[in-house]
Amino acid sequence: MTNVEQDIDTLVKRLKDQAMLADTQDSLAIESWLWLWQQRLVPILQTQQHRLYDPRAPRLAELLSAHLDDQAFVERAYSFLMGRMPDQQGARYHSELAAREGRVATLMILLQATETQDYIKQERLELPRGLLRLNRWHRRLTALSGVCRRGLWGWKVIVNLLWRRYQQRWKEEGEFYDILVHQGQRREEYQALAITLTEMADIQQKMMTLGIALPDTSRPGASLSQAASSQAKPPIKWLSDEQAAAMIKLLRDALRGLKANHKEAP
Amino acid sequence: MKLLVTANHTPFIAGGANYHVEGLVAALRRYGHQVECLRLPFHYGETQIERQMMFAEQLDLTAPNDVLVDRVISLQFPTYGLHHHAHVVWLMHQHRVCYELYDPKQASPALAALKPQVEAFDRRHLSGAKHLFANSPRVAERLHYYNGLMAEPLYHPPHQAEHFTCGDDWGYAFYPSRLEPLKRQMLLIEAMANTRTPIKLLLTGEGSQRRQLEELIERLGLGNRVRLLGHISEQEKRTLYAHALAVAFPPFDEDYGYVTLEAMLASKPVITCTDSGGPTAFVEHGVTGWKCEPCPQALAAALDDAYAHRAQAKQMGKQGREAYYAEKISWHQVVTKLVYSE
Repeated sequence: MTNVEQDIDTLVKRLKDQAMLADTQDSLAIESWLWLWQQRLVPILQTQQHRLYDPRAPRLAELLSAHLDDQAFVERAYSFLMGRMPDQQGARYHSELAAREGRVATLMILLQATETQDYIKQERLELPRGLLRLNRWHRRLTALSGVCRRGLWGWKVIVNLLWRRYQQRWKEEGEFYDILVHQGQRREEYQALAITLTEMADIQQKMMTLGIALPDTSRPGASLSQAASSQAKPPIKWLSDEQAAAMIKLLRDALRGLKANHKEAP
Repeated sequence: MKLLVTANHTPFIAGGANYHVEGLVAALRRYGHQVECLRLPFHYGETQIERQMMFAEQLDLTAPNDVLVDRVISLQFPTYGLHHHAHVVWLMHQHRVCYELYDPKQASPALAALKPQVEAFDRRHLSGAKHLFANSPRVAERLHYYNGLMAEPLYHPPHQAEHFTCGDDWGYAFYPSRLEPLKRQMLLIEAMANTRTPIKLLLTGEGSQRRQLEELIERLGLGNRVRLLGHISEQEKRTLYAHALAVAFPPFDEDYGYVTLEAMLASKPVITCTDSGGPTAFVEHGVTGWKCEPCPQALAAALDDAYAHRAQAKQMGKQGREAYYAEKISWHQVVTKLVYSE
């Protein structure tokens, strides 16, 4: 008996069984997720509208934003972390530091200043999550470096390598966000992106729990940055090759478009 | 931004409107806004309607309890009567019994007296809105026809749009909807009695017409081909879409019609009627489905056509899905228009 010829009771029973089966598979319906992400990401990446910067609640990417020059970066960081503009000496010192050591390092130094800590307490300032995460890693690595200075030279080399790797990751992630910020994303679009990224991470987590092969990194921000680079490995190995290629192509095209616009912007 | 969404509340009567309201609130929150939903109780009955209009007009939501509201988004009659300097209306439908469903021969004196009041209320408040959107071209059309007002149609996706999939067809037509006279399940069952192929029909949903429909199925001897499945889960609904040969959707003058969009997402052709309203904006006859005259014979011919030409029906379904994508229907677009239109 073919599907079409079956009697109506059998047909209804088959449909109910099928629905029950689909229900159990639903949470891992990767194709559905992929479709959803594409639906969300495409309009976000294509948008040209301007996002408003909120000085009381900036995101890490906005603090590190590459479209600011070093002086503007220092002013923004001072303004958020200390509630004032830098004096001439401070501005020069930190701008040079940012140029030499990078913005992440400069931000960490500013964050640890007594004045910053007092201001955070006094104003009950809520630090962006990205900044807290950055600070946590910075402290861990610095502590390890301290141990290494006392003679464990092999460890010191490893820690330095780790430190450099993470700096590179932050830089890539920052670059991706910078493009979005510079394109003037509106807050809600940016948040929609964040939701998408969180979902991607959640799915990866589910896959990991089930013991399915995962890429070497499960950080979605990093994955996106890597997707933009031609030498990068496909970041979404847990999809079929075809699906992964489609996703990467989508992101790469979108990023290429954004970068082109970024260069054209005055 | 602090946004207030206003709509009606009809306890224990759930339909597409509910999803529309909840979907909008969820989307606005997802996009980072502070959103509250104000739902006013709605009762049918002419005297009640008059009172509800007056109540809505007395509400000023500019700064309730000194909390400044940036924008009010109203979806339903009579909530769009309230006051706010940045009041945006995204109209689901007007009070239909005073417009396209109004029959002067059958209207009670109370309804006849209410009609001009509702029309004046609508003119006053809809013309005063900062922006006026309609949830479908059909609703915009009615607004223009009856009130001379222009509204921009603004589409939103059905609930869990990303979960719809397409499977092999199992030789049945599917119609999910409340069992109410305007949805015209009766017409479809009568059409089934006129079919020449062994196509089956599965109907889901509950409503006031259930008993009449059961009787009709029995009277026409269609018990082995037509089945009322009652209330089903979302997953069951998606499965029924996935394995349908075609989706039948012949309501009378529907506002928007999620069923059409859900069918398109599931890559299924849609059989609708020329007077079905909202669905006709999406269904292209012979390309993504059939637009028939609202009579059993025409619907039966379309059902038979789908059954006899399965490959063609499948192709139409695929074209339907492409047509859905081409419309670029998304909450992103809705939020941008409702919140940022200057």
